[in-house]
Amino acid sequence: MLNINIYRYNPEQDKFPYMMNYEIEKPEKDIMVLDLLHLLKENDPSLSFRRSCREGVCGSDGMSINGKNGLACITALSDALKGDRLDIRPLPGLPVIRDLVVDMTQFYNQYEKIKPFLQNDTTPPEQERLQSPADRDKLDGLYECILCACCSTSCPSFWWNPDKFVGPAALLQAYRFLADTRDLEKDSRLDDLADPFSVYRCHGIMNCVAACPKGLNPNKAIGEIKTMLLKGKSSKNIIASDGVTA
Amino acid sequence: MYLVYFSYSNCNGYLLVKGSTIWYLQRCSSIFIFIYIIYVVVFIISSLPIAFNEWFLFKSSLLFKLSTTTAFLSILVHAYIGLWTIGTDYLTPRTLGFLNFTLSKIADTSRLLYNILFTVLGLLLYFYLLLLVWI
Repeated sequence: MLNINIYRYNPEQDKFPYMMNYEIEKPEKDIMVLDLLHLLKENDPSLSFRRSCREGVCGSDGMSINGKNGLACITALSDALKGDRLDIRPLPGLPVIRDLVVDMTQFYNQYEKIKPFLQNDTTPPEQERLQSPADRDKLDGLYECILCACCSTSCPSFWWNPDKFVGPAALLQAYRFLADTRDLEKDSRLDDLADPFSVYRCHGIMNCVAACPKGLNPNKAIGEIKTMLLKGKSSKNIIASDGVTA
Repeated sequence: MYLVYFSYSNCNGYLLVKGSTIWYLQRCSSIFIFIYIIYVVVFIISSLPIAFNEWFLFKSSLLFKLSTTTAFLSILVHAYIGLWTIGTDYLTPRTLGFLNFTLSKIADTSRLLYNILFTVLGLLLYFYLLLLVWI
């Protein structure tokens, strides 16, 4: 038998959150944690959680699985179990709406703050703005983020100051545009991050790297942003590595 | 009054300087403290067993006085940044609210008092040290 403990909270009925214990036969085949939640939901339809693509692309089902943030749909039960025990909680640090569903507003506010879109006021070419293959390679490991919030909600700096510290997910995206040779607003992007909190609250404890279900490295991106801030303002016209002025 | 204003501005999270300035101050101060420790330890090891005269001459030298003044200023700056960071992490309505709702209501006042306390204590200790070194 598996001993499953799930965080339950329905603000319309419960004064305080509590852990509900479920016992279930160990499945013969190895299944994902999300499949297990579905099995439990068949018997208890009041259990609430987010899910969508069930293949690690949409980032909806981020949750704390036995103390580690991850996506339920790509976390195998055999990897998550500690003995026969499994504790599932919502992503830490964010307000709980119900059971495993959290309010992501603070997370999205920080994402909005870094202006996650290309800024280039020059006349667009007929088809598309070109990059050299070497410049395009600089974006690998950055653009793949699915905004599941597993990294930001595993970061104590984000727990304590979610309104001031941008958080690893949004900083990874900030660097994705700082590293993009087609973007011409590097100075203003860096100005927005120059205060003591936005980037510098990262103390490099690397919980974000351990939590990221896509194997990305926000800590490295934050290090690159810090280097850019310490070096001072960039040139307005960035010279791309192929010698073309972007 | 300036101290209260300074502490109030800082305890709300805006250390009146850029993040990179704080970063440099922390790194430079720690490097200077490390060099100072090496300087004193090398003197002690190379002079063993130390006679009072030797120690007196060492501590009376201008180099020792200047380096000690700078080293303790570095400690003051380094500690100030560290304690400010702790205050803005843990003495906030949000963080104290995890423990208790009443505590969260007095978090801002607690942080202001905490900032004033360590600023005053740090300055007093520093001036006391200046007296010991220079007079």
